[in-house]
Amino acid sequence: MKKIVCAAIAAVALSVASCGSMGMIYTDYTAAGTATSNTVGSKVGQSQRTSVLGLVAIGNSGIDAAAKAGGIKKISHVDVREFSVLGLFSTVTTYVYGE
Amino acid sequence: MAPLPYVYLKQTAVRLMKQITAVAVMVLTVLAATAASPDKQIVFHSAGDGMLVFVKPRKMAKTATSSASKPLDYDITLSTQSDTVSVTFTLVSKSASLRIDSTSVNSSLRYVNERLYVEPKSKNWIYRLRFKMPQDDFEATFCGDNPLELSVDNCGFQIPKKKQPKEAEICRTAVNIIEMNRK
Repeated sequence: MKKIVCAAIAAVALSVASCGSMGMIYTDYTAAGTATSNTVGSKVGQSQRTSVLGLVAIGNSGIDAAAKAGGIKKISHVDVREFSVLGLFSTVTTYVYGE
Repeated sequence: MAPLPYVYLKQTAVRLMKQITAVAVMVLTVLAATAASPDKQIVFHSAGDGMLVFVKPRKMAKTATSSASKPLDYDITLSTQSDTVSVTFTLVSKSASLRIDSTSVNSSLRYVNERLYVEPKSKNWIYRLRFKMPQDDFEATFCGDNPLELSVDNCGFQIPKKKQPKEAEICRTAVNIIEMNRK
């Protein structure tokens, strides 16, 4: 039993560690996405994907989905926010800014 | 190899369930703590000479007589360079012929909708719409004590009385950020 638990923890730790700067226990940061030469607009659009237990992952965190949700035709820049607790529940949210 | 005794299997299952429950409680506690703070529901960043404040998507329940298929998803954008507040929302209905030209707020105010897109999904129609309202109206309705009501055609939505204070606090925080950064 202990071996199984240790193996599970090691698997989660490895998978989290492989995700770059993600914290093993708690992650909540915003990373730079893309920037264009368009001026910063007054509109924001958001898209999100969610993962539970590393087993189920649903959603669409694409730039296109976020731009569509915000009615944005000219994108100025994109931010990506990652949130995770123990690698068991995680979300990736894309924010698109523009006009 | 002798089969594992039933008692041992039962004890292992109980221990495993306890560990899973402990982890689940830990995750839920962190999620609840994260969601509790109003500023966690707000994204703000500089936009040119001013600031843009985005209130992350919220949900509004259907009213008893609503013909909508699902609760309303809405988000709010405020800017220091504008006296209007932009409310963008997704309405899901089985009807393909909703009158989506305007949105009524608290039955007394009405604003013209901008259609972002309308598309079918399964047996429903997804309407993505946006309206702009003066900041004063926003503060009187979204930041007020009375439960907020929105309706488009015969699709009505309302924030439950119990949840209104928390939702109003988030909106007030957004307004405060804008006011403190307005030149």
